[in-house]
Amino acid sequence: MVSVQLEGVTKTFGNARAVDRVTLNIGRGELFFLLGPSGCGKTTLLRMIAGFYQADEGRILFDGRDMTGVPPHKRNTGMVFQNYALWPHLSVAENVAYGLDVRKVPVTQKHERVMRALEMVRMDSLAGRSPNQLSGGQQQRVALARALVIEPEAVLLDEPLSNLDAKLRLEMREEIRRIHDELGLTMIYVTHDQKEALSMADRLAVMNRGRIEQTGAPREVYVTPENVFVAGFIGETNLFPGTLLPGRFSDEELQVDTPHGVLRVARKSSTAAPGRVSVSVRPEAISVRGTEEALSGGVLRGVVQSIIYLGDTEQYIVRLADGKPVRSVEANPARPRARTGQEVCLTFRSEDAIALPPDTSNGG
Amino acid sequence: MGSKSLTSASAIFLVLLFGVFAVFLVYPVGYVLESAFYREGVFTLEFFRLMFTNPVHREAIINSTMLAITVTAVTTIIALPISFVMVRRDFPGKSLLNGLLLVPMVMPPFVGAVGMQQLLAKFGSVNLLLIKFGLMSPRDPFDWLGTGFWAVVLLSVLHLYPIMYLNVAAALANVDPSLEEAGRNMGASGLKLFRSVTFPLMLPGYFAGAIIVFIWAFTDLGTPLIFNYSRVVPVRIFEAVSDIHENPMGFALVVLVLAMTVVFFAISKKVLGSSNYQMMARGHVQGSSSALPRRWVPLVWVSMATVIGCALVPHASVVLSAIADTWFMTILPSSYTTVYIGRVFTHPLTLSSIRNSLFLSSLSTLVDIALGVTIAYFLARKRFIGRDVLDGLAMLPLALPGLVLAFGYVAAFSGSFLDIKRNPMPLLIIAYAIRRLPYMVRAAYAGLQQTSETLEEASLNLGAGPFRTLRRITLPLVFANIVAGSVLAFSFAMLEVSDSLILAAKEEFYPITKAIYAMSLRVADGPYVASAMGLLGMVLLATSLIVAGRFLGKRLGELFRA
Repeated sequence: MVSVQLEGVTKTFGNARAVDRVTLNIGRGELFFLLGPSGCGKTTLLRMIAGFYQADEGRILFDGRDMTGVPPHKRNTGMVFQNYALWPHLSVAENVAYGLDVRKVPVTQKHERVMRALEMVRMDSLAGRSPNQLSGGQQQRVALARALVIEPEAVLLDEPLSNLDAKLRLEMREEIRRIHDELGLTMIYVTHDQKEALSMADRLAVMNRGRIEQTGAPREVYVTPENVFVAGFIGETNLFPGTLLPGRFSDEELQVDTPHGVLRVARKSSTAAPGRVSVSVRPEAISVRGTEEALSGGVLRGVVQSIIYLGDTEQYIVRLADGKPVRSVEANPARPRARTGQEVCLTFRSEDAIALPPDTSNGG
Repeated sequence: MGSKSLTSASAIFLVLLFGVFAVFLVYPVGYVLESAFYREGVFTLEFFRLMFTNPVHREAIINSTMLAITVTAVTTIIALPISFVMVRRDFPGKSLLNGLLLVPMVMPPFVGAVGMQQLLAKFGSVNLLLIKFGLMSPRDPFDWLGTGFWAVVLLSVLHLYPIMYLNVAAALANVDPSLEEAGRNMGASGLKLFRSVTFPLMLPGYFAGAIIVFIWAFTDLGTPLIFNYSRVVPVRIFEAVSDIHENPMGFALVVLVLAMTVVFFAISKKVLGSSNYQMMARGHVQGSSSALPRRWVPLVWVSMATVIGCALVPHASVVLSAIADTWFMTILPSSYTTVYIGRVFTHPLTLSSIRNSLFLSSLSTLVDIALGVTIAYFLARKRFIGRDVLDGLAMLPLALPGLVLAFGYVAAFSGSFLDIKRNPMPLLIIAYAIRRLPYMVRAAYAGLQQTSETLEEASLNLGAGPFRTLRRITLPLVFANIVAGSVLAFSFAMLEVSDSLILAAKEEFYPITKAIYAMSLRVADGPYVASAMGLLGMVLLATSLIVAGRFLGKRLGELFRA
């Protein structure tokens, strides 16, 4: 088990910068997530750690050892591929034993370790099967066992659950987390599924266009996104462009002037400098109230455009006076808060609103 | 950088590959070009002027062109309706007929020609049958063979229509049914729809098949030789081999064939290149075929059976000739014997030819495996400068008539240690190998394409080096394709005609095909022993195709398409 450091790692394909000056520190035994939309460079980065690509610039270090120029078969990482990459001409047990054969592990010890790895993923009863006879979830488990059995320095997982159905995905999340905790492995896990990352990660890095947008623990990244991209990619958010007013309203609050009135926002370390900002408020932080029960604080007025009932939650889309739609999510909706077409107030606590640097990418 | 880039070891391999192509493909062809245009170091077009003014050569060019046009037209007329029914309609027995349609391919047509002489002779089976039914006067039997033109057309058509069918059917199957539906939606139907939508869309595929057939018919040497139809280009070239140093006319004719081939393939590139219909519209519509109305089923069966039946007549004639004891002035042999089949294994010429062919084909297949798998691996897995050139060189033999290559070998290597007058074996092996290399490359390439690269990456990731990965993962996964490619390379090498006829200079080095030709020229038992050898060849090729089909499944047909 190793720590993995990336120092200014850059990779270009033709004219496209797939990975752009990425610097990361992944600790020993950490379950670390690379999270981002497709094409953001997260898989390229993982493949560089595995050694399938060489960095154009920068270095990758395992426990301080420079990995530049070390070919993939000498890095001792265990990779789980998105399509599992199980060899169809070998049985389940032979697939798992392959890495031990390469390492010339004695036969008796090899057999024991293969069986232990298969037990770990609860596939020991199907050791003699061919991969073609397994379901997607079972193939996934075998691929995991094959990567674990060699006792790798780091386990690399490339969207391992993306080909599974929703229910199995939930099951495997817990399974992988359990294995990680049992073996105390360094795991680097690539996904575009923010729920997967939030629910499993020790820490995660959000990537966009080849760059790291933010690194941190799941709760930290969700509650205090550093920019509009992270706020929008992890969870949903409502953005209100405006101008951060100088001075402060109170010790914990600042004021932002927006077309919808002055909004009070939390004062946090990540808060932008005075000037143009975007105020981000998560839908679940916004409550829909009748106009008569409106409280003081952040108050917006609008008309309910649509209501979507989802069982555990209820979503309201409220159109403000200038036509801007705002999304609100009510948890555990015992009875509807409003009717379509009704005029309502939207309220939220100032500590749930943060001012972010303005979105430069598409002005929204 | 990355796994796709070249290591120094693979760079050396690559240089060697290019070296092989340079010496045995580019150099001979270049030598022919040079000899045709330069006389004592001076550029000249004299031979080309002669080619069109000399009546013998002019006639040969006209004959060969007419022959190729006729064969292409007739195979089109046969293959087009068959393809439509097979691709667009479902009916009982369809898959059986689909298999039977390809059966005629199991014999080189010149072997069929040996047997057909017995059937089409003045007092051969056909005329005797007609006389028996009073349709012909015994005093004035019709001369079917005539100049030999129509006999060559007949044999070529019966051999080549499956190739045309495979190409047309593939083209038709690739036409997105939704495009036709759109046409129908606009009110077009029947011939109008075919002319305005279907035919333009399938044209590239049809064109590819038509070029193969045209060039094949134009350059076929064996069939005209057997029917003694000597005023065609291939026979002229064949005869020019003997006085290759005195008379440069052979070079000019070879260049003519080469130029024609190049022009056709350039046109087809243009036609194929400018039409990316398939890319544009790949709907998820599956199975555009509909059930054939029941009353049509018998008609379809009868017409298809007629085509297949006709195509198998040469085969039957070879079988009958092989086991006929006496067959003179009767419709069928009057008595049968296995003497001639036995003689194949006792006569010194035939026996040594079998030995030669087995030796040559085995070695050339090994060369194909080594070259083909390496090339396919480079093409499928590596990025390097010159990739397109390598791809082009490996596929070039598909377009290059065997006649051209063999003539180039004779000319370019004469006087060197590879001279055919010393020992033609090395050049025969190389010629066979180069000619069948595209099949091997295609088969292995298809296998590599279907094998996800992550399977190899997973092996590297677990600590196996590149060679171990190749041995334990890559090769086992594409093994079936390699076997299929080898079987095809081997069996076609066994029955390679023009290379064998031109390169095998001495009797002791004759392979089977040249022995069949030599035998058929002998009086008395010659044609019978030749037929017996043809029968053996037929069995060999049929077995090989079945074996290859087992390994490749439905993809076998893809190897014969352009």
